[in-house]
Amino acid sequence: MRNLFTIFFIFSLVPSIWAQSNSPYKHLTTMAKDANAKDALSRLEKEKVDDDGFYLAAKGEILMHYGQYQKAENSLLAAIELFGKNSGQYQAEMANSYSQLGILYWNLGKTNLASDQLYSALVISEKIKTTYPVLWADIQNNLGLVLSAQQTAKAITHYQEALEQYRLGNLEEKKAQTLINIGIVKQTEGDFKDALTQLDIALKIIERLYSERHPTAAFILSLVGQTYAMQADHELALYYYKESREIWTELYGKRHPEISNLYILEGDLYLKKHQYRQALDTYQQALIANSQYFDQDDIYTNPTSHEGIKAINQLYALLRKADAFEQYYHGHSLHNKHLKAALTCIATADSIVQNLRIGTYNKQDALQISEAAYQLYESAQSIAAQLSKGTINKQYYLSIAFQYAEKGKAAGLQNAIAETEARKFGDIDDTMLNKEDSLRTTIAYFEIQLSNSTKTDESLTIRNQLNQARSEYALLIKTIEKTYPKYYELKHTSQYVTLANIQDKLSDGEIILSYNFIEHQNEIYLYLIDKKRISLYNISQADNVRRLIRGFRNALQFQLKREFIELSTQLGEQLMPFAVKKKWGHTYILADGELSKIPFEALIVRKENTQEYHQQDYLLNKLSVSYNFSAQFVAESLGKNETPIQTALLMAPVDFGYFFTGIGGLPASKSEINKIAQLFSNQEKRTTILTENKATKNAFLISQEQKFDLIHLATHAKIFENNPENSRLYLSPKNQRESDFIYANEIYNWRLDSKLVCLSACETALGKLSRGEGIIGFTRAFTYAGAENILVSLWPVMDESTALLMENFYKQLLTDNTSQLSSALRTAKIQVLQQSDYKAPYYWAPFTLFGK
Amino acid sequence: MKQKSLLLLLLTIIAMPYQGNHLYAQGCSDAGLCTMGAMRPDQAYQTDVPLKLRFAEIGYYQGQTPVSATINAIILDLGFDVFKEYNIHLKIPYMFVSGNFGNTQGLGDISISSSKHVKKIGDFDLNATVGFKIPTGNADLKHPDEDVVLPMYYQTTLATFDLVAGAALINENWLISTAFQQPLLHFNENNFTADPLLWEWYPGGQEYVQRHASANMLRRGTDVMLRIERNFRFSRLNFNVGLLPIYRITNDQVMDENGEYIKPEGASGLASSLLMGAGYRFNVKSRIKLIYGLRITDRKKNPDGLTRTSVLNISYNYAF
Repeated sequence: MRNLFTIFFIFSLVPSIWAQSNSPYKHLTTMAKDANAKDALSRLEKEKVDDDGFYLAAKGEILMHYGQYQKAENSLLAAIELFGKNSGQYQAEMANSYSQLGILYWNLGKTNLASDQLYSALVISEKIKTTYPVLWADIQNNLGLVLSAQQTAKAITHYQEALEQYRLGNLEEKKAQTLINIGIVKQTEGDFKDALTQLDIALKIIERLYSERHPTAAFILSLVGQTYAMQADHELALYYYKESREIWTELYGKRHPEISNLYILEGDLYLKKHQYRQALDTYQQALIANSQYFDQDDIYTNPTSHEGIKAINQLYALLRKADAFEQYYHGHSLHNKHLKAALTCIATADSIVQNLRIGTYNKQDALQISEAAYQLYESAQSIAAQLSKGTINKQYYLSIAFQYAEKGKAAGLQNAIAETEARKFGDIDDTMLNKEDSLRTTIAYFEIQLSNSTKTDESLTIRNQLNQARSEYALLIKTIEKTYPKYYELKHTSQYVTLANIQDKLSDGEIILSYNFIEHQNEIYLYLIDKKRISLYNISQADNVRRLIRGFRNALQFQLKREFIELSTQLGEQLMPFAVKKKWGHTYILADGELSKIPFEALIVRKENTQEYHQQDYLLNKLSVSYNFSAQFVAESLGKNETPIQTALLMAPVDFGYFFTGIGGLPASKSEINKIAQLFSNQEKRTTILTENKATKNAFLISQEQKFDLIHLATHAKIFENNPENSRLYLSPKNQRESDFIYANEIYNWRLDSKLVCLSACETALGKLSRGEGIIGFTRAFTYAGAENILVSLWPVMDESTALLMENFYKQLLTDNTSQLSSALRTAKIQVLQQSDYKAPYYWAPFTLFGK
Repeated sequence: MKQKSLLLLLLTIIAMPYQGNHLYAQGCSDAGLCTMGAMRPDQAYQTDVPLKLRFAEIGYYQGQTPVSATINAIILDLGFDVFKEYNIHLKIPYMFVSGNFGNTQGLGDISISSSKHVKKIGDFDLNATVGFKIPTGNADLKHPDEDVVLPMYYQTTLATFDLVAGAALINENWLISTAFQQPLLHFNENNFTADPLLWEWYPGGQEYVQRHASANMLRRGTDVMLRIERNFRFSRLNFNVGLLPIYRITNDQVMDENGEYIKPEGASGLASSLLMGAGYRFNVKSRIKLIYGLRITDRKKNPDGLTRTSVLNISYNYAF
């Protein structure tokens, strides 16, 4: 089983300034903290005072509890600004607001920003430590929390500082909570002995403080159980899980997310011991414990996707159950009904993912959901693929496997585009949109409150409120469906293309190659789809393929001929384990992970007895190739009318102001633009040429008032893999400011209507590799902005060879007056390979066409 | 490496021919090469090689000969993993033969072989096998009441110590294997001849006795085989159909009345069978399988008594 599940129950401590604060709103922030943020917010808003720091700080905190992070951030920043004007007077309030902002950023997954805010809070609180010692300690604890994922040693230091202060103040409960946090870090580090010691002390404090059984004690016991499980002491682990479960059950009855968590942990123990049936029964109990009404012990039944008290727990329980069924099949039964039952769990889990994606604003949660979704789609593919082998209905199960592969590809991008398109083209008024947003926030809020609720009567109230909000939402969606059918169709109907849809759109000579890393099997699943059939190839040793890719890229960039031929042949054998048919004319490559970084055209499909670059049998010789994020995007592009390019915007800054940017000029780019312009002019097509100091960002933005079929930028690019939104395209640095350049994150706000965007620059195809989403970079940004096709490069390109390739490409495109970009690019590449001195793939292969 | 050499030496010692005075009889449908190691039919195809051959199998075999003899056998198959990459396969048959000339029984020839996964070729696994067939007697079993040695069909041993080597390509759907079997040492002391003076007591008539080829001090020739099998696999069920041609490339030799070895005409060439099988897996560890083989072509003369018109094999396999 892949490591999917960890209980995230770490104590962040709200700084205790409020007890001593003069804030008139402290009762409302306490109310929000106690699971009543919605009421607290409506009460606060009645007393609206926008220029009061106390009001804004309270509003920020309440909004954060309500899950409205953007608004919370604005309020807290405004509060900090106001407090800052009188910092001498409001230092404690300043420190508190910084600390809140730190926690907010942490919730948004911005760890660096979070620690920056908390350090600011710490610096201020140091000055008033004698007056507000607990505030200082709470900030230390929160710093430990934020740093615990990446810098464990630092985190421990901050926790220990907090602990010492709590000791001095005899704050026993806070002491226990910090000890638990330390225990969790120690457990993560594998220091089990120390983890158990810390947890034991924390447990003793809690037992001393509360005569009755307490949730924190239950939580500690489950952590102790997990620590033993990590040491493979299953018996002791099981003992502590059961102890913990008993406390939760005594306190909250049989249905509570924490009880469900414990059943999942118990199930994991059985599964590790290959006690499949027992594991399945236990996971079933996990589903029941986390359901509002579901109570079926039969392992072949599942709750509906809306049943879960805490949806993410339900998702995990279903994934675990699916995994147990799959392991049961492979480890013992070989009974197809177990694989089919696993697929049923996956289908319900998938519905939960869709629901969760709608209502999740917290980045941490969103990442958690994406991770779970990715594993869900991997499991689904391996199960469906196994079923395709074990039954006569092979094509049916392969189509299911492919469907899940599709769901795992660029789902985030597809959702974002669907949402934008719906808002843009759905003709829906803002009131309705606001209502929809508001209800989604409310549902998400009540779901969180319900899972955090520790009182039975309170749970009941929240549950009713949640059900009411869900009913309202369902009603609203029905109204939208009726009143705004276009918006409804764009946003709420399934966006995933089916195999039949895509096959229907493919022509006879077209194929799709969809590559999907299946990490838990260390394999790559390759779906080969033509008009009539789908075939699955299991490419084994995915880690070896990754090694080959690294070697291939190096050999290619450094022009190591012998190594390149060897590695390209090996990769070709691995990635194309089929005979390329003569009738195939074009392939759409849907790459995954590192495969997005190689030009498939440069793979050698058959070994030739020669060491010459131009005599190799490349895929380029057989087919034209284009790339895309998913089959959904391919289907959409196939549905569009093809018309030749009529208008072009051609840009080349040529000089980049070396003293400002530190980058040299591209003299050949000017002649590249001129030659392309000449080609367009010969065909009497309209061009706008912006070169040298005319090639500014401002000129580019102004030019966008007209529609250009082609935007060609011959320039420099810089890619920030860890911070892809900061990746930039250099334009003429007229103002010598950072804002002279085009940043990837601004492109998302543009609305382009171009048939082709050509980024004739270095590495413009690269970016941050995101699991399931592909490469986050310019291609994604321009796709989002509406470009139909994007021509981008995979490595630093050479000025002259690029100019030649581009000239050939446009010559081909314009003289044939064709709309077939991929075949024009293929011909251009073959011409460079065969008819010029640039025979190494380094020169002809860097540019790949994204789109049709 | 040293350990491996020691193991091979040990195997060779174990494989040394047994030369006791007991009466044994042979009775396999092939001389051994078709059912050893990588050449075995209906192999479980799993990428998880270590589990593949770690098994115990008990089977029942029945073979119909062109004469009256019917050969039944209980066969114990054991597979072991050695040094992770080697699989040792041990096959021990116990034979029961019944026919017009009476009944015989005894331990059949023991096969021991070692297989190794060599490489992956496309989606095929290439496995290689080398092994020995160890005789358990001298093939001179006599009629219980008459002082005549019975034909080879009634013998439970071939009485030769053979080297077998081969290789198999296997994937989910196909098994293609090839092997050769070379007798290295001959211990055959069978002196059956259809001499009317010796067999005048037989009530079935001399014409029937004549149908049994003479195997006097038989020296069996070398066999080469090819097996092509197509498998249709589902989760628990699998079916297969295959072709098994065995070519005897060197002629058998028998001793004539002058004590000279002669090569009987028609004792070399092709014998082939059509094979069909089905298997059912109760779970990952336990399965049964059924194989039925039908003769297609045969050699004119079969002094070794290996010809079968049909064979049936049912076995239960348990993987550990």
